[in-house]
Parts: sequence; C-alpha cells; structure tokens
Amino acid sequence: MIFECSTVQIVNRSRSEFFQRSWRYGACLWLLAPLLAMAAEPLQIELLPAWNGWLRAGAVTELGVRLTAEQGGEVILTVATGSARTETRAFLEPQAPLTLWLPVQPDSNSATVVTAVLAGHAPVQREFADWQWRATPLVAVVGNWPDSQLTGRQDWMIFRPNLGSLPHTPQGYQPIAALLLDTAVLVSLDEAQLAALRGYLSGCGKLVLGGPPAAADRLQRFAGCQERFVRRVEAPELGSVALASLWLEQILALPGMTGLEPLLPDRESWRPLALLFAGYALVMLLLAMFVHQMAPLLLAPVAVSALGLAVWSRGGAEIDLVSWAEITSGDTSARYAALLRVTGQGRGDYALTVPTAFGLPTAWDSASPLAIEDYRQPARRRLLLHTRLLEPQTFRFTGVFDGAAPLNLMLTPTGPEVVNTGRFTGSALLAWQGQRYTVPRLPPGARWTPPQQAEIWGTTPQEQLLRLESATETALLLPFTLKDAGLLAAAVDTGGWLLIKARQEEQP
Amino acid sequence: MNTLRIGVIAGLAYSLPVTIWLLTSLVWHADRVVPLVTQALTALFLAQALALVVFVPWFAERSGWRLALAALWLLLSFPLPLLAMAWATGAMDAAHLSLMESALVGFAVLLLGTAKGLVRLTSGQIRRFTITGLQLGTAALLWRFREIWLDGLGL
Repeated sequence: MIFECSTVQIVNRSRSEFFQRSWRYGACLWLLAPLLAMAAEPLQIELLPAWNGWLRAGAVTELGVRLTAEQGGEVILTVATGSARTETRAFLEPQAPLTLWLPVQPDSNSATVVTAVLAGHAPVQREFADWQWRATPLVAVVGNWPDSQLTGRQDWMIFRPNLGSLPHTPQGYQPIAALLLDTAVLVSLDEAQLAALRGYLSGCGKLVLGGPPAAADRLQRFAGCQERFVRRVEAPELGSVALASLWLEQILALPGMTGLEPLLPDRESWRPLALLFAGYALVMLLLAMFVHQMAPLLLAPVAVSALGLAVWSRGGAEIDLVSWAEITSGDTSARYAALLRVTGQGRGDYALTVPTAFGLPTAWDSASPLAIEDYRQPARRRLLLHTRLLEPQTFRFTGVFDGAAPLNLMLTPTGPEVVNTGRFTGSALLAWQGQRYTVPRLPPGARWTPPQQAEIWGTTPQEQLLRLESATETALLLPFTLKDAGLLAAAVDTGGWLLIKARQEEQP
Repeated sequence: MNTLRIGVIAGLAYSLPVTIWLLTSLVWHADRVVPLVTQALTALFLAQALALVVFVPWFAERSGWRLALAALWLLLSFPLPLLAMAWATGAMDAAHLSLMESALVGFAVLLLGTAKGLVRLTSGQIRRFTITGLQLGTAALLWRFREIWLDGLGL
C-alpha cells in the first residue's frame, strides 16, 4: 500500500478517475497517519500488564512500561487510574529501552492512562483499558499442567499467563489467589521476577510446585507460614488435587485499617487551638476593660485571624506510623501491615518521603486521590498530599521483610516453650489457649515455659489485637518496629509489634 | 457598661460555646473534622444572626452611628479566628466564608438603619415597644425560616 501510494500520479485523468485517485490518496493518508504520528513521537511506549491483564477488583497489580527514545534525558512517567496517580522519574539512555515495572490499582470504571514526558519534548499518552476483571479468585497456571482437571470448578478460575507477564514486584502478585508453577520455567524468569516470586512465597502465597525437585527445593526455602501454603507434586496430573487441598487452607489476613488504627498514638492537636482561643478571649476582655482607645480593640480580631492564617497556610503535618508484623517461629521472613497517619497542621501541600519497600498503599482514607512521586536514581518515593488543619489521612501498606524472629516459640506436647535466640532483651506476652502470660526478660539462650496461673487480659489495643489474631493459635507478642526490620531509617519515630506464631514441634 | 464592651461580651457570649463544643467534639472524633467544623459554622452563623437581632437595636438606641458601628464590628468580628480555622480545616473556602460574612454584615447594617429610624421616629414607651417588636419579630422570622436562609448561605 505504501509503495502504491508513492507511485500514484495524477495526469490528464477523467473526472471519475480523479475522484477514484483522491479516494485512494485519502485512504493511504488515513492508514499512514498513525504510523507517521508514531514516528514523530519523541518516545515509544509499550504497555506490559502483569498476568496478561487478568485481575480481581480492588487488587493492586503491575504495569510494565517500556520506553524507547532516540534522544535520552529525564523522563517523567505518570500513571493515572480513577483513584490514584503515580509519577515516576527515571533517566532514559538514547536508543536503549527502559522498562519500568509499576504497581497500579486499576479502576474498573476508567482506563489506566500512561503519560510520558521526555525532557524538552511534548507529552506522549497511551491508554490501557483491557484489564480482564474477574470476581472469582484467580489461579495462574504456569508451565506444563493439564487443563482438563483444573477447569470446571466454581471456587476458582484458571488462566495461563505468558512467562513475561509474571510480576517483577511483590505487589504484582495481589491479583492471584494461587499459582501452579512448573519449576522448569524458572530458568526463563529474570532476576526481578524471581525476587517477586520469592516475596510472594515469603508472604504466605499459595503455590503448587511441580517439575525438577532441586529447583523446587531451592524455591520452597523462601516459603513463609511454616510452608503451609506450598504443595509439591510429582506429576502434573496431581496439580488439581494439590490445589484443592491448598484451597482449604486459610490464612488469617493481617489487620486492616480499623484493626491498626487503635495502635496509633493519640494526637492532641486540639490543645494548641484551645490555648489560642482561650488567649484570644482573654486579650479581648482585657482590651475591653482596660484600654480606652478604640483601634486596638477593633483590630485585635483581625490581627489574631491574620496570625492564624499565616501559621495555618504553611501546611505541614504530624506523622505517625505503626506496624503489625507476623512470623511463624523458625521462618526467615515476616509479613507486615503498616498504617501511616498524616495529620495536617494547616492547609497546603506536603510531600512525605516513604520507604521504597512500601510500594503502593493497599487502602487509604483521604479526601484527595492518591498521588505518588517515584524517583529511580536514587530510589526515593514520596506521597504528595493536600493537608488540612487537624485532618488525618491514613494509608495502609503491606509487605514482607526478611529476618528471623528474635524469640523462638515451640509448641511441645507439654505446652509452649519460649527460647531467646540471643537478640531480644525485652519482655513479651504469650497467648496460649486464650490465656495471657507475661514472658519475662530472658538471658540469651534461656528457655521459659508458662506458669500454671494465667493473667488477666489488659485493655491496650495491642493486647486486644493479640487476643483476636491468636484466637486459634499460640502466639507471642513483642515490641518490634519496621526500623528493627531495616525498612525505615533510624530517625523515623514509629511504633510496632511482632506476633510470633508457634511452630509445632516435629515428631521424631 | 459602654457599648464597645457590650459588643465584645456579646461576641464572646455566642462564639465561646460554639468554640468549646467544637474543640471538645474534636477530642473524641478526630477523624470527623470537616463535618464537625461545618456543624459548628452553622451554629455560629445562626447564633451570630440572633445576637445581631438582640444587640443591634440596643446599640442603635444607646449610641451614635460611630459607636454603634464599632460595637457591631466587634460583635461580628469576634469569631474571625474561628472562621480562619474553619478555612484551614478545608471545611469551607475563603470565598464562601466571605460571602456569608458579607451577607451578615449587610443584614446587620440594615437592622441598624431600621433601628436608628425607629429611634428617630418614636420616643418613650412607643419606642420601647416598637424596638422590642422589631427584635422579637426578626428573631422569630430568623428562627422560623432558619433552614431556608442557612441553606441559601450554603450551610
């Protein structure tokens, strides 16, 4: 068609021939226009959704954005969904494709819009509206598994994603309820995909493993929750049986926003305001009683209001962060949920740096849409907030961190046994059969078993949460912040707790 | 007690309960800032309008224009810091607050003019009767149709 267009000439044609030629010219131009427009664009954008775009409503997933440009420079990439906007800044080398793997929470009512701006060039925009929304829990099948036995179930829906669409970030695993993985494909995954898979396993994701046992052994080592959510099968035909048994295993979800909120410290933000108004009333009364000139009395309300406006229009915020982490004794990684509260000290804009490990909030309570700024070099993530006086905005983050529990909790036939592995110097609480026990400070290596007499439960929020989370299990609770986990800088003021679930003593 | 002091005390009398109610409510419901501030503003404007009805004829009767306007200003401007705080919480925009305050100032000046007219035209018991009638009648109308005019002010 392109060749034909370039050779067309109009010479001495009849009227009908002329119109026919014109029509062909028009058609050629119409077909060429997008190509010409793309060629003129300073940036080429390719969108690569995780799981081939399959996801369940409300889940965070991952969108890969591959950028290529003739000229390099800083690129600002904005991904906007109905409820959130993420701005990522990265440096693009000339003619070298750069792929950014971004967590996104698509909105079922609107397309995901990706806008890229290369320094000194016009913005380039792409829309992605092909998300495959499903209400049924999704099971991803990767590798050689027979379809016949996996399909036809009401409680899950299987799909077969391309290897390239397996997530590169741990949050990208949120859309799926379980994964059937043939370990033979592991060699085809890149390092980021392997790390994300390990993160999924550490976070107690459900996995049926088939294929070469050596690779499965290596992968299974990363599984959290005492490997309760991993099944190994010898033959692919057994995948459906393993999945059915795995389906019956339920993991207690980490506390949600309402569960974590009581752990936040009380902010008495009203106190300075009470002082201001009390002082103002006193000044006005004193002026009325003792000053006989009219001007100071008339100007005092305006002066105090102007002072208030000057202070309150600067923005600013008070930050509180609490976390609740859970680990099974003996595991090498823990799951956590963190709640970040930003209480405005005025009306304005505020940029809050959050750890890059946090990813995208899984839930938030804020009047304005979520806006995140992400710098790749050096890695830095900021929440862009519109603050208002006294208004709290809360954000819940979830994730996994590596590390062993500072106390070991074994459930023996005679009862629980706590062992200090040598790093913990405080006291802890033990919940066993619905009873509360205080674990005293233990010297390194010391063992402790609960006494006959249990204690009365306290009313602190963390004890209430311990009671709730350990209703069916034996667990220890001790103070442990995300600073201890290495996720936060030492300077950040934070609180947090670690719940250690008991490991069943293995029978000889 | 002079007129200006009455203006200050009247301002304090209607804005203090609203401020105390707002701050104590914020202690218990820190997550409901905007609804609480909006509620407080509604109560404040209603109290402000009723305070104007009670005190403005009183200022008109006892003082000249200059002092009466100054007392009126004190009565109206007393809760300005509270309005500044309401703006900072995002419960209301500055334009909206200015519009509402302007409406109240207009109403206050109209009331002052009416009261001044009555003071000029009447005397003795008749003046007392007509001014009390103005106060009671306006207060009753404001209260009876409070939902309409508060709604008109966007509250």
